[in-house]
Amino acid sequence: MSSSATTIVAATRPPSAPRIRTAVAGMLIFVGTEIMFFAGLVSAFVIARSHARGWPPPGQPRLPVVATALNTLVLLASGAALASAGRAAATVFGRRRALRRLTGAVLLGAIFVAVQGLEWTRLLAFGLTMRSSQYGSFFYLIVGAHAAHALAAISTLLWARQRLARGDLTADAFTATRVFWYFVVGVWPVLYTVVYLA
Amino acid sequence: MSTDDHSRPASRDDRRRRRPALLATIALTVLGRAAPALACPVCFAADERARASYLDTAVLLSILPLALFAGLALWLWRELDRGRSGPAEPEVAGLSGDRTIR
Repeated sequence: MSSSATTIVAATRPPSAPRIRTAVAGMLIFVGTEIMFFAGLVSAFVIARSHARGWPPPGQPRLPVVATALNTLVLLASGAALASAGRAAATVFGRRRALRRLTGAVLLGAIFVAVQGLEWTRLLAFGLTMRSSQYGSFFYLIVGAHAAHALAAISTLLWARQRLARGDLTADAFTATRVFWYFVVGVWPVLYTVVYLA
Repeated sequence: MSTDDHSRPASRDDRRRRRPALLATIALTVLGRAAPALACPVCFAADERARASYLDTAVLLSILPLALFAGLALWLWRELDRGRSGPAEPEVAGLSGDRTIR
């Protein structure tokens, strides 16, 4: 009885019935939780800094503001390249163009993570560690959490690139992947301003 | 034979009637003896900068989830609205649906 009723409903449903893109919806909900995660970290950092006598604490190295600003531009360029790839994928027979731009976005993202890693090795050599001070703990926690997200997002972009090259990447999966990378790109300027500049 | 009510033992109804007064007396005694806990740093951190930070982060963490829920609701509404308005244009067809990108 109920299965026949379902069949009738499915058969009479108009072809333009509302459809939720579940992959994109799921990614948006996930990104929402990630935004709250970073908001919690930033809040804890701001409160710890407000209680400190001096910030950065005496004897601790200063963060590389200019080099990271240039690296931020690289990350933003990666986001722009991915947006361009999304536009190319939306056009008819735009797969090859989308593939080239997606590859560019992945490379720029990888450059960003590599430069961050180089910065970290220099800061560690200057004595800024997780245990050296609250300053170091928060720096590595916040920037490290972002780097982990960047690596995860680059992995998903590589997966999308592979599927796109084979010609079996769905539009919804590509949109969901892009949403994750846009989050990684979009949250970084906020973290840079709070951790490096303020 | 005189009947003196005061000499009678308290009945169950009397005890039930006195219970709120007894509880209030206990609560007031406990509250009066309790020392301030000072668990919340805002209450004892006299630093104005710290208080401003607490206020800013409280506002951020209160408004952000509401904004996220509103954004998701808006996206869902637009998604359903787009579905009702008919099939997408051929140029933007790749942006929707579960078809592969060609």
